[in-house]
Amino acid sequence: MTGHQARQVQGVNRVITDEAYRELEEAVGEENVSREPAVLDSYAWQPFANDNPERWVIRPVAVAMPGSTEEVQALVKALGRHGLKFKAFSTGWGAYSSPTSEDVVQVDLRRMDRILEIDEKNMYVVLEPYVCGAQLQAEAMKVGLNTHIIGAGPSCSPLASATSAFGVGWDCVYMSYSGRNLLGAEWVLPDGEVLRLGTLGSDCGWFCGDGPGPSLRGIVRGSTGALSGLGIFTKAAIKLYNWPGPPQVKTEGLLLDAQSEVPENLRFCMCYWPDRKTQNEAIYKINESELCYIFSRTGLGATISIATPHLMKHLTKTSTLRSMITGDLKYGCTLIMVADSPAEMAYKEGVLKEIAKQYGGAIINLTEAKPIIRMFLMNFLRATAVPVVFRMGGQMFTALDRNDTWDAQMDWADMGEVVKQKWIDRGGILDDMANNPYMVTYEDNTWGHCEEIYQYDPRNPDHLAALEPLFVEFSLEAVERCMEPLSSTDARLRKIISPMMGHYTRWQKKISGALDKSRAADTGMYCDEVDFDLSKVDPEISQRFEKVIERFSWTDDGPPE
Amino acid sequence: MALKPGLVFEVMASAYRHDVLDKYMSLSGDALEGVMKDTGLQIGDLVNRLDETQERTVMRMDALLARSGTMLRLAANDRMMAMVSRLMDLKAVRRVMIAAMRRSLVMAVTGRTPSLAEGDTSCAGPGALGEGRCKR
Repeated sequence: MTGHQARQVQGVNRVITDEAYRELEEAVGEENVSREPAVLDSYAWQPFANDNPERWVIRPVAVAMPGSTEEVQALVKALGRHGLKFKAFSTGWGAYSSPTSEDVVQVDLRRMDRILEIDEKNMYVVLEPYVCGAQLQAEAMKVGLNTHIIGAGPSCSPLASATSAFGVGWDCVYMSYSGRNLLGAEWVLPDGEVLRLGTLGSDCGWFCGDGPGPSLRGIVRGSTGALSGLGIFTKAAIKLYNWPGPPQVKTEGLLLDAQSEVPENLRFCMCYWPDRKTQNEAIYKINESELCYIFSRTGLGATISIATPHLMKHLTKTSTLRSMITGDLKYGCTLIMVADSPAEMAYKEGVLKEIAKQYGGAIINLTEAKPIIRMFLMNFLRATAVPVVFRMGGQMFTALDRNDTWDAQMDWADMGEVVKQKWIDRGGILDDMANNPYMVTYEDNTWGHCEEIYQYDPRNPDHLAALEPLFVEFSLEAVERCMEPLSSTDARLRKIISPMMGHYTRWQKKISGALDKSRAADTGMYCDEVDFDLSKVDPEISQRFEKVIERFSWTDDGPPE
Repeated sequence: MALKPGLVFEVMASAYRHDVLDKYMSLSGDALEGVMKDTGLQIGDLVNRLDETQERTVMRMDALLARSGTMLRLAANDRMMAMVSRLMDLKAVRRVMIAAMRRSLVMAVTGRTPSLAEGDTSCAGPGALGEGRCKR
């Protein structure tokens, strides 16, 4: 969320000097730079992940499109000479790719769009920033490989996710989290120098992202990524995974119209469990058994609300149907299993049946319902279904804590339902029956991810007014449970929670200071801090926040008693 | 009378234990394919038609479900579900189920009752005819 910062500078229309603009032209070519207001506004219209009611972010002073690492270096150096900042934009996703101050040049990397190498034997790809997930997946499948695609969808850049931003997706159970798939990167530092990470830095190729010696991956990524706050990544090697399906999944149509040819050794199952305890135990077993290629837990209400949003409005008025959706069918998960042979698939199906028997579950094998599985297949395998989440109200946002054990994530899901129901009752967000978590597990393991999705209508003043208090309430609930709320991109929340987490921003600022002496990177979503205006929040919530800050904050001597 | 919490899940779990869920998914897939053939609609169109369901229809379904406690308790019974499963192994039963689902879905999406010729009661999926999909 950047809206708070955006509002602070509304009305400021800083322009780039002719001299600085000329140097940008020299760096990337005249035809690849613009300061036309209409062009700049096309970057500033970013309603997603933006709590600004105007739905704009700060307009960049110019946009430049470098076509090579050398041009990125020249550009960054030119900006440093003129006291301007840069913010990289690979494929973009809401306000996360946008400037957070008024002196920023948007570095649009769309000319760097090549897959440089797919190493089939060692299972990795080397690519540039504007390659998107769908493009990479299509090429990887041709050689029996596949790539992790994040929850934001296949239009997003795997390089950006691996080096700079988040990284969760439905396929995490098999293909991990973006930052863990990074096998090396070419990194243009804020002073224009190039740093090559891992084996690449020792001219040994792209197979390992760490060492020799101490790894810089933690500095590059942390848990979330610096969102361009530490430089610009121009190439990356990313781990690929096995794909036992055909070289091309033939598909006609898009989204809900899609009809794909379903590979023989693939099963799409929805599993339901009697209660939370058996669900959790069954999910641990499913993961231990290494059955899944895709795994997710999403409320049935969520599925209805994105596929049939008008029907959802009627269903929310019912009593028995509602209680069936939110009660009887509350505990469930969706999974895709793939196999290299019919025998392997038979084994996996047998294990799943055994788990269902052990925990009293029910499995709906959608593979048998041909038109439905043909529609769902690529919506899940390629995560193309993501845009439909915007159907219900036009906008959505999410409340998440840090990745944690599955049980802890279920606590977050249950808490999220309570907070959401309160705001649904108040008319602050749309009614999707409250139970709408986006949950996945990682690496066939016991740790997972949960974010509570809420949908709203940006044309509704009540919804806009609720965004900030809702964000504060979710953040408070997380901190009270010793969880980390979605703070990494929000300079307000970072200022509040950093003292409760060992003053981590002090270390981030030291890293930023060491790598970026001229302050050329836009660090608004990395380590900057601004004051939080809690005046719009319920006094009770505000008091709870103050209490928790007092209780958990570290002193200079260390953690609280 | 309010439905007992968990009863719908019990029915589903019982149906799963006796393979009724799997058999039903297969039949509903065949019925859907038949509907797409009859109406020329794509799956996305069918989802959109579902989205256009009127509030009074949804409320009627809600009331119907609320009154279905006795029937659902019966359905959750393992013996009953085992019998249903055996019935669903019969070609004739499968054929009738597909035809009924197909007919009611066509009625729902087109608003008209299909004639028997259109309804194509010979459709019973690949197993029944031994050579693929619904014949016209």
